Amino acid sequence: MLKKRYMAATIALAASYLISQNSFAASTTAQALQQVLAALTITQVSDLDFGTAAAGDAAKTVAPGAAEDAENASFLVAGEANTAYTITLPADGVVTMTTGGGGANETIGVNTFASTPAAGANGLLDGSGQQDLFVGATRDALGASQVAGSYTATFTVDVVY
Amino acid sequence: MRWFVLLILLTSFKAYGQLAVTKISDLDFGVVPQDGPAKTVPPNGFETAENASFLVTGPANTAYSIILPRRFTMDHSSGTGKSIKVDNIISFPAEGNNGFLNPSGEQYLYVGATREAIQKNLTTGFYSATFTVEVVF
Repeated sequence: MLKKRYMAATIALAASYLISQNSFAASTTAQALQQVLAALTITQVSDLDFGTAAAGDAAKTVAPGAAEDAENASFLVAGEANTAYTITLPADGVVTMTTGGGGANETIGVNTFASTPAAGANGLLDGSGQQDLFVGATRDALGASQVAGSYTATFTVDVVY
Repeated sequence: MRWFVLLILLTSFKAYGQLAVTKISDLDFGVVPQDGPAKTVPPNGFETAENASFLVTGPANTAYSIILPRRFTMDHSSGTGKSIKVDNIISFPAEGNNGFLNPSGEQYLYVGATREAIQKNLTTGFYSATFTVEVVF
């Protein structure tokens, strides 16, 4: 009789322990969030044009300006409306216009790149997700023996959100 | 003999207390442009702007297990279009029997995950998902 009661108590204790284990659980929910912006693009509209000069001429600066003109380079930046972006221009000593083989007297350095809006975190796409970007720079003075001809270079303008 | 055993059971129930978990912050992947790369938010072990964080409470000095989802998808707010897949959901403390409530019966739980790269033509806007975190003795 005592053995039966002892067994019944042990079973009850074990069963209660199992039930108590299953009831000790809790959960909650959380959100995962992500905003996707329209891809940022930049398209060239016009080249940077220093015009015509003669050997021995002084350095020339083309200002970026606030509108398209014959000299400045211009670009159309497009993406998410009302969103800021960062502009990066070439560093000094990186862009060199060349003619012919690009040897002695066949190069003209281009430095001090500037833009409107200014380089850095100054870009801001308008309500239709666009902004014009204007770029200017300074070309070196021409040497006395500067070779005559057309000088060109390619440079990169980078934009990122 | 029988009554003595029942007394032990009642005492055990009172000592255990209630396990609970509440959300403090959501998992926020931030902002990304179309064609953007995959991104991983680490759980860290402290609150950041990105990780999800929770407060687990219960009896002092007690171990508990953490159960996380395997994967889920974030849907556009319009409810249409393609979803963004999220997996590699990890926590600090790590999933499994790694939780331990301190002498105050508390522990902070942090959750991170990885979302896939964004397709070039994915619809822009706000994406979200609801996921569940479970704790158990």
